[in-house]
Amino acid sequence: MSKATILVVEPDGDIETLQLGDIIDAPALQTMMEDFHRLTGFGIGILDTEGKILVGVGWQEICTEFHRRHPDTLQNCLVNDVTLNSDIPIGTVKAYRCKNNLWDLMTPIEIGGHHVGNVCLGQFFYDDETVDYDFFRSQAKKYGFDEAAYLAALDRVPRWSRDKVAAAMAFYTGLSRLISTLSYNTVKLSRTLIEKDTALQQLEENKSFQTSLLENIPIPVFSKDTAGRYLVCNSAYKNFYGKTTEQILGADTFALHPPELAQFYHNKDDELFRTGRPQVYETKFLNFRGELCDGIAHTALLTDTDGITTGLVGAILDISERNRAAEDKKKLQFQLMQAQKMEAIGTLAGGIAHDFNNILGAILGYAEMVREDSPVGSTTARDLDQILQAGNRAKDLVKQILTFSRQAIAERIPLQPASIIKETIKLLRASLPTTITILPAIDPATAPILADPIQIHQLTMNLCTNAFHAMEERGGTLSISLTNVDTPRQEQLGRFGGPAEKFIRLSIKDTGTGIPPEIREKIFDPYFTTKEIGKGTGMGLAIVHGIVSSYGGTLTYDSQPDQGTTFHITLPALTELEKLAADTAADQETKIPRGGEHILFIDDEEILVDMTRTMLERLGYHVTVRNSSLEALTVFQNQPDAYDLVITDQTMPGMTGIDLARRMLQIRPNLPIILCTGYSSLITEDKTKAAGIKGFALKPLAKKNIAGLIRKVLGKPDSVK
Amino acid sequence: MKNILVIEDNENMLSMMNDLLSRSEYHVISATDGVAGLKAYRTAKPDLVITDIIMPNKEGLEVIMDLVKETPRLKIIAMSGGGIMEPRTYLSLAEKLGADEIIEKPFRPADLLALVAKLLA
Repeated sequence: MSKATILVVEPDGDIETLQLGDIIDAPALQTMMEDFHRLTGFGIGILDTEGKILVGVGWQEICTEFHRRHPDTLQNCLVNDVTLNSDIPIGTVKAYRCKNNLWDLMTPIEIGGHHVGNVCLGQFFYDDETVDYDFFRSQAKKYGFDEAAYLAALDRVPRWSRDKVAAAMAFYTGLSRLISTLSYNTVKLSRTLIEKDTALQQLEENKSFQTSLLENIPIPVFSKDTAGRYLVCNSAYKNFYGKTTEQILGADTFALHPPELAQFYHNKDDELFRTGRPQVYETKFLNFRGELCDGIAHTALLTDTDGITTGLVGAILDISERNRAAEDKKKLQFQLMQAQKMEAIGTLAGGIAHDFNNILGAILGYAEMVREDSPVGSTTARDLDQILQAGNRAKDLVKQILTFSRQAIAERIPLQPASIIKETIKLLRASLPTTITILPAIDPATAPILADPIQIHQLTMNLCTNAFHAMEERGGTLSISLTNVDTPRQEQLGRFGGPAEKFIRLSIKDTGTGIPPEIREKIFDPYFTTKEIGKGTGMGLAIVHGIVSSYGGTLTYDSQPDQGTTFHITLPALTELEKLAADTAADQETKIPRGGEHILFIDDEEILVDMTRTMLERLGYHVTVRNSSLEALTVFQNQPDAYDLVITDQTMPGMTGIDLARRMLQIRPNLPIILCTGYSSLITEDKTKAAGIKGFALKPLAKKNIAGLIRKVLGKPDSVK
Repeated sequence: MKNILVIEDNENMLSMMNDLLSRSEYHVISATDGVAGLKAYRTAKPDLVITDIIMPNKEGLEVIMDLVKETPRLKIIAMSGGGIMEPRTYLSLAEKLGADEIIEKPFRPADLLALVAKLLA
């Protein structure tokens, strides 16, 4: 590849470094010059700036056969070439008589402001000068040329007039410059063309990249012209709207979207064209399923290379999933908060109940005593009746609180909800006024559930009582329905913890006043009530919510002001596995974990000792009993490894349970110990743990609780049958 | 006049019962915890003991067991307003341990008087 070609295809190549030989087509020029030489007799040489002869015609025999053949005279020639070649100002002609005594004329060729070579006209004599034959004779002698032949060659050297030489020189210079310039321009043109090709190729590559990018990103992207017609849309866009390219391209916003949305998009586009500022806005989109989705639109102006607006480009980010997740999170947080509130209330309930019952006992007791002493029909008697009535309501409230706190220890059994609900409806018919019509729709084939029958009765009663209160003034219809639900609503699926696939739904609907929107967040709060004093405790819905949650179910409601409220309770039905377990474990006893380990049991109360021993032996344990802590310590010291577990009472004469435990742990640090205390004891679970005691039980010891605790403390949850 | 020992840690309740029983012509001895109750029993040897269950120092169930051990035929009424568990859980245990009658707090004075009268008949 010639240097010119390389420079053309290599964009980094510097065109300014081209030599004359790189630009002109020397062989073609040579042929042309030879023809011209035959016509005019003028010889010509074209040399580059380094003295290299590119074109040469009309060489004289004296030069080719003599001067350039002998090393010394050749040296003369070369000195000439170089001397002539250098330092000739552009546009001037340098005339020089060579060391071999012939004339040489040279003029520079300039292309693009650079000196690229020279045109040389030489090997002649002017016709107005005399040839110095003596010089040539001495040359022949000195270099051993055949004098006759040498002088004959000398005579054949052309003799031209000075005008003719000047004209020829001007002609060749012009011709050379013309040819060089043409060639140079050709090179430049080729290079421009190649650059253009490269640019086109790059353009194609960019286009292909953009197309793959557009088609493969999962974000719907589009562009519109200034009239709002779609110019471009990617696959994600087509999929999002469920339309084809043909349906979209050329259509305007109004043809593709519902009128209200289209108007909104149109206004936003207008605003973009008006202000030129890129836009990011949240909006709704109607997707291919006809669902209204939440999305964020990004739009910006589309301009041509002159900066003129030709349309707009846009992208849509579907944030429905994100919003749904946020909504779910909010709901879950609410549920968690609700659960925490309930738990706190439950813990509090026991303590409250105990104190309240004592206080109420005194109030009611005294009130009743005074009431008995008051004359019948007296003001005092009537006032006391009010006190007694209020006191009894408070007593009921304490009972409700206790019920609430008891939820955690409710006995769940497999049961058929339909029969319980029917029983509850019977009770309701007896207690509700005739202004309330009861419409039951109980599917007798409702699947069995695992629940505490009392709790199911209670939650039905609570909801029905609320429904009644909502319709109390105007009367209405109370609809109670119970059905199987095979596919619970999508949003409920994630909330059921268990493996249940089937559910039952109990719906209680009233035609009452509805729940005002402003209190909807509070209705499940304990103690929240809209009823006048005495009518409600504010615990009803909190209890229902607590029960339903503890069964892994959901409690939802729909309410319309003045139209009524419907509460839906969805509970997981018994799974096949649970049914099987329930069938084979009809006897509750078998659910209690058992074991066969050796237990040392210490209590100073004989009756309790016998009761507990019997209980532990029935659970399968080998039991050794001691009535005093000192005696127990002696037995243990003798055979510390004979016992797997120690259960000791705290309050004993001589040495308390906790002190006994400490001594035993000194002997066998990992010994499992359960400490039992009464409710009033000052020993707390924290204190026992700090002493290294693994278990803590409150007396009286319930079989189920102690059986579970024993397995836990022994670190062997699987019972030994 | 029959002697009744009331063991109850709540002062209002104790006072009410004291008044109630006194008005019904019983002689009332009172104690505010299990230990004091047992001590009072040994000194006064009453005809009937009415005891609460959840109390400081010594709880009612233990008091009942001690009393039954000392005087197997002693008349005892256990009463409870519940605690961590429901009143009837405590009271059924009390019955097993030897209480003759049980009563849930708060109760109607007439109900208690009826039980007392029945046991002291």
